[in-house]
Amino acid sequence: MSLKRLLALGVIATMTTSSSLLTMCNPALACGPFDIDAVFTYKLHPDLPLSLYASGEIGIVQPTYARSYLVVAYRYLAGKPLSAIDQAQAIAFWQKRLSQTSMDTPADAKTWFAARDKVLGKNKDNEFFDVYRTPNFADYYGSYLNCPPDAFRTATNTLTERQAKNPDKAWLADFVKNQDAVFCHCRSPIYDYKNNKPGAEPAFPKPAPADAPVWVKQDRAYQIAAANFYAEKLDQALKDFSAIYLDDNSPWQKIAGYMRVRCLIRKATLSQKEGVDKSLLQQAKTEIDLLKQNKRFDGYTNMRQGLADLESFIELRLAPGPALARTATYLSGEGNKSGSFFRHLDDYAYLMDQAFQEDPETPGDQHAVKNVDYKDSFAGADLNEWIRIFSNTNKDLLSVDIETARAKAFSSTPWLICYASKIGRDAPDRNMVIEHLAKVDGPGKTMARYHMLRLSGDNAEGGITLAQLAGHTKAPSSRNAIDLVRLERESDLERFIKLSFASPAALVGSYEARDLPDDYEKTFAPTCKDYPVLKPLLRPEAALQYNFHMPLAMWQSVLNSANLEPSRKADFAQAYFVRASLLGDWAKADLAATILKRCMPAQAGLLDGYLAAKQTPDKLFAASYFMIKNPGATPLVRGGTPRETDYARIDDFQNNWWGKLEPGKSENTGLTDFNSPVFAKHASTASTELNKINAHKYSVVWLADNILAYAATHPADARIPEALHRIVRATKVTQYEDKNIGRVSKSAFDLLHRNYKGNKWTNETKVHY
Amino acid sequence: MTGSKSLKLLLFALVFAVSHVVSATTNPALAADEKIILWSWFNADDTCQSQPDNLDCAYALAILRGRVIAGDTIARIVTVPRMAAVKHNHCLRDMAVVRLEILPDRLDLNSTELDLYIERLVQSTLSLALGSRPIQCLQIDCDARLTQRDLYARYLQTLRKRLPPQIELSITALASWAFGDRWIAKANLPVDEVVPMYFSMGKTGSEIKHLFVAGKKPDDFGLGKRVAGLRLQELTDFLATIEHTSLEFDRIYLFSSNGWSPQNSREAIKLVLPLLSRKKPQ
Repeated sequence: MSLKRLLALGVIATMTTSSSLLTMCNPALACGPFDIDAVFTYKLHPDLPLSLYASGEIGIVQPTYARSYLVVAYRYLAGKPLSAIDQAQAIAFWQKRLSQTSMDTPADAKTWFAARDKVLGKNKDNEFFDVYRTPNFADYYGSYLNCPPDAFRTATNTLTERQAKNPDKAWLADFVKNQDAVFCHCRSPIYDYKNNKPGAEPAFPKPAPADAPVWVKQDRAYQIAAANFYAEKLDQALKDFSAIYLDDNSPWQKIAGYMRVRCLIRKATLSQKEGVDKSLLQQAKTEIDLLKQNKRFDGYTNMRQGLADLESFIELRLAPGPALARTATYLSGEGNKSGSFFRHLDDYAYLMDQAFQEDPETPGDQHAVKNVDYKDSFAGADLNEWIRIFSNTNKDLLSVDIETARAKAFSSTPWLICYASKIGRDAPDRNMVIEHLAKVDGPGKTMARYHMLRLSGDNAEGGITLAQLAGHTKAPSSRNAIDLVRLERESDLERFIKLSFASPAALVGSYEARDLPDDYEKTFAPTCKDYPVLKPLLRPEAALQYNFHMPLAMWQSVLNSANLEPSRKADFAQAYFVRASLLGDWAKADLAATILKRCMPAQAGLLDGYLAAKQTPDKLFAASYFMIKNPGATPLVRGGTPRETDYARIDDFQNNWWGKLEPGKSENTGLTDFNSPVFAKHASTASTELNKINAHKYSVVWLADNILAYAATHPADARIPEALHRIVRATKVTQYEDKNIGRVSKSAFDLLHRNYKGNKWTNETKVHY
Repeated sequence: MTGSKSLKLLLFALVFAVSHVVSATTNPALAADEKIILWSWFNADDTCQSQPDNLDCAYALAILRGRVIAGDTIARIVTVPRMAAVKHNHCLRDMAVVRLEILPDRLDLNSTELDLYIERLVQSTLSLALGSRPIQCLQIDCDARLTQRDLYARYLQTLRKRLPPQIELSITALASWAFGDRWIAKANLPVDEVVPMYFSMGKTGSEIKHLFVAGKKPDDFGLGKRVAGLRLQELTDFLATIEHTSLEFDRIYLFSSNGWSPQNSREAIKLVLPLLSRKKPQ
């Protein structure tokens, strides 16, 4: 178990027990190259803004959503909607979980540093101040938040108060100097590389001199205790805070009582690399009970939330099974309403990870209760079992889980949806499931109708069509999920073309493993109440069909279609042109070139040169010349985001020209090919064409050979020098290679320097590759 | 000057020139026998008892310390630390990895702002990498785009100056950088190791595969050693790809999408051992 959850004791007012700081981060996607990807249906979370989901617009819930979203889905499916307060709490929870937690100097720390700089002058070391510390275990590489924002707030407030009451500058400077000696322990000492030994812990505040004012001595005592706390000298810190707690005159007496509990909890979590010291946690719990009985401080009423957070932290570790039962009851909308929805979601996320013994960053596709502490209590809450089975996406799903879902399906809407999501059209009770799905109303209606239509195999069922369902659905992820089913079933070309284009849910950098657009934080603003409407893009699933199943003869129809997105027409036209050239179908290449001229006016000159050619060798050369000048040339249309680099320019990540055309599952997109009824009867032709294209040498070599062959018989053609130069350049920048790359590069280079001395293209071609 | 002397002088000059194509520290920090290095990424990994039976300790761990995510201004540079623990046994040499993600293609900063931006990137990196325990090597994982290469080069040069001299500097590389793209050598990057990642190669994957099949050897970046980054879940495919080539590597880094356990790390090490070069790395 990682220490991160144990050690992330945050501010006094709110506790961060979860601190899954890299929530939903899939490290497998963390290596480049990185593009901007179009996400048509979110997998990890609902559509943004999340406020709409929290309000009941749950749409089609994906089983891969993080568990906190599934809790909310369950509530709405079960007919127990969230109150306005609970919705706000859920949104706050998600906002916290999705934020990048940074170790950069927090705002409250910057405020403190600004205040201390006014007293002591600027300290450059504080410009980038680390508030995280690494526990002192030999092989532990995580960090924990050591100095939370409230520590700096307290320091700033104290300085302000002292300045107001005690204008003695020397003592104020002394206070600040000693506060520096507290915060310097926020981070672990850095290893001393110069002297090759562990870095020494910086100096600690020293006791105030005997002649110091009382306030100085009292503040100093607290600073010493705090420094020991941050430096992980917890036994000493506990002694120090205890002494202050017994000092009726100290202004720090009350907080010292709280800090004693913090010492015990921190000691419990830092004393061992794995797990916690439960006896220390029990001691901490006892101390909390005593604080609540402390009449002098009114039972710590104004710190009730902070104490509740500490109690929750302890309970999750001392009695996780009952804690899970309690929190599941709360989240299910039953029983005792103590605590906040935020706190319960946070606890629940942690407890479920513990129950499944999963790392929150790699939750897996099949969940089972592995932790014995939870076995008894887990099944007691319907919510727990529902989430576990609903989020099981492993194909080898245990049949007992399906049976569990089935047993409850016809008396519970959440279970009906769960069961429906697991079965296919061959399920023996399919018709009964469809019948029940047709009756679902309320927030679960969209999802119920979706599964109903999915299971029926038809485009209409129970008085609604897929098209109508899509039309009623505003959430882009849900609408796109429905339209994907329509796309797969569509048998009419025009409708297929129309369905090929969809407004994605988001554009996401593929470095961003949480499936979030860069500006996602803006969607948490209260004024953000609508789903984004992005420009329609070609669905990758449709691109697969055009690229690998559509014969050449159909490309013209697609290009003539009014349903073809105007912004993508150029891409289709160039693919048609390249494809026709590869297949040697010059009549179609002419048609493609004519359309392409209109779509790419900048290429008109080149395309006119092609159209002017009449004989095959001339056309082949002119087409090859066009393609070698345009690294974006490819026989494929691109699904998702278009090629970012200009068609005529080399792409950074070498997305230039084309390689072997290979249909089927794409590793990076997870798409699976399907048999579209639109192209089914053309399968043989399409396959033959694909084989013919793939029989050519690799693109740059094929283009180079065409050009070299033409150059041999048309040496005076003014286009030749540039074409040869472009060949050499192409062989340099492309990683697509076969054994002929070196040959064509050298051939082009030699021909240039032999026959075209003094030509500017020759002069620009200094080496071959 | 005699012919043999002039030849020796020429050879010396060549060696001198080649060794300065990519400058390096003089003290290789990772032992020559640490030929297999497991990347510990965001997961809570457990590589205890990973070395195969009857084998000396042959692996090390390169542990991600966190990410530096850089936006378009200094204010938008965010540092995200690693939080997960790692379990390992005695076969550990401490190698820190920091992932650098530069989001904008181009920065609209004047030269003073750019200097500060780079300084901030370096500070962020060091705050993640330099902790209480000594490290022998710092590896930067950054997929710099063409338009970001100058910035990245300046960042590495500044970083090298700030790093204690005994800490080696290693960088990961896109697979395509190892085939014909000479920018690393031309930029005179102050690195001791370049690790091309032959996995999750996206659109270039099948083309890189063809290169391997065709017997093309990846670049050694003038460092005299050939290093590879591989992914456990793609190992079988990679091994099949290079099966009929004579390709060997002086060091192999291994990544696992689902993290490491004693079982899968042991299996992975066994699978890649035959790929290691028998000659000593320089």
